[in-house]
Amino acid sequence: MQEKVSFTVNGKEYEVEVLSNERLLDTLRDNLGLTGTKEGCSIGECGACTVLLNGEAVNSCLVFTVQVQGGHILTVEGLKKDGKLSPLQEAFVKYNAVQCGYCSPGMLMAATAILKKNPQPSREEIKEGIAGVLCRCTGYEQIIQAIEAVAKKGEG
Amino acid sequence: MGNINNFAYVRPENVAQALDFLAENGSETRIIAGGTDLLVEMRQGTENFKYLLDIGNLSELRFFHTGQNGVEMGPLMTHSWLAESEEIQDIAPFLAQAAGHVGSVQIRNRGTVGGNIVTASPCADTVPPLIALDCKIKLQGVQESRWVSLKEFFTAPYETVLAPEEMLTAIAFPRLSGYRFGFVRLARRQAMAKARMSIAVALDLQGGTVKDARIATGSVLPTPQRIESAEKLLTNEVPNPELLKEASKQVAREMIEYSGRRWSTPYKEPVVATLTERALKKALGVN
Repeated sequence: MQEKVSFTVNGKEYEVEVLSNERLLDTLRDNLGLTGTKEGCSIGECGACTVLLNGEAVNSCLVFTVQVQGGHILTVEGLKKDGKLSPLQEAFVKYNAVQCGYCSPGMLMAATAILKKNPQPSREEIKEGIAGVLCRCTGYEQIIQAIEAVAKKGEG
Repeated sequence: MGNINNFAYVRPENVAQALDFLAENGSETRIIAGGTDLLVEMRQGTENFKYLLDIGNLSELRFFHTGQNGVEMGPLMTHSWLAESEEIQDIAPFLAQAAGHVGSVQIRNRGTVGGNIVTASPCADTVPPLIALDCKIKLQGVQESRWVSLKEFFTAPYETVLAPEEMLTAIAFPRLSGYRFGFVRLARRQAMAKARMSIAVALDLQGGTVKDARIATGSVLPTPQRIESAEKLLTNEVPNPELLKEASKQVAREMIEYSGRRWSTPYKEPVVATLTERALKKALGVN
């Protein structure tokens, strides 16, 4: 069954027609072409599909698009400002927080949510905040360092 | 998408509309709030229904009142809210702690306490503390509503007394002034993993004597339960290490009495006892 849904993604307004069982993840990737958001486990355990919905980190594989009527979504594509990488993205590059890169969009969105809530998180709070995103390459240390660096500079 | 069956999506404007819809179509309808369990179940292909009733935006179901007597809250309060609310941390710190253990930040932001209850998973994190608090829940239909004690809500794993035309609309528990609380859960790892077992404890300690003891378990029996035989051992006694051990062993004995000796019993028996002992010690603030 088709449903009309309107929402914003990265500040831009969209109205889409989707099947009622379409997930936000699929709408973002297949309908809007925003393939930065990744599909991993599809059961909310790996966090690769993390986006911010109304300012909070959520798994876009566990949300039906019809549920986000009127919502505001931020994806990894929306982090860049005026063609420049965000401080978190810069720090991920600088600290080698990326290896295969598959978790990076989800990790960046989780990190964005952490700093949005608390610009000066403790190491524990950072670990807790990224616990819902699996990275099988880095061992997390570089990711934590990158987030800490941004927090330290007060750029979050 | 993928292997998720299709359905007709219904978004009521208010609770009355939702109840009207359920009165007509309850047996063919699944209710969605956060969706963190439902989408997973649907992907496994075990869910098949005609209508999906989305109550996620009903502000009538998102409330929190606290007074002298206790707390009443709406089922849409999220795990993130429960974990971070200063009021919950003050009134029922073990509930805040349990909610903070649910899944990940992403799951806690979407998942609701009402969903945790209604899904009726034996390992639902918030349920043992709520049962220890003597929580009551309001099940509302079009014509009438009823308050049910949470410990009588569950009939079997994933099964409850909720009728197809009813909806959970409120959650209430008394303020246990002066009580001490403990919550312990065992899981494969700290983050993300579902609880293999959990124990919630509330103790009223007056002048060194236990006046009231409540021990509630998750994933120990088929449904979350109070273990009254263990509670009795503690009541009107002055806690000492032997007594705590004895009461803890009693919880394990209850489990075996119910489920019989299984291949897993040699492992679970001491683990249940140890977890209970830790929860009691946490409540008492001793090591």
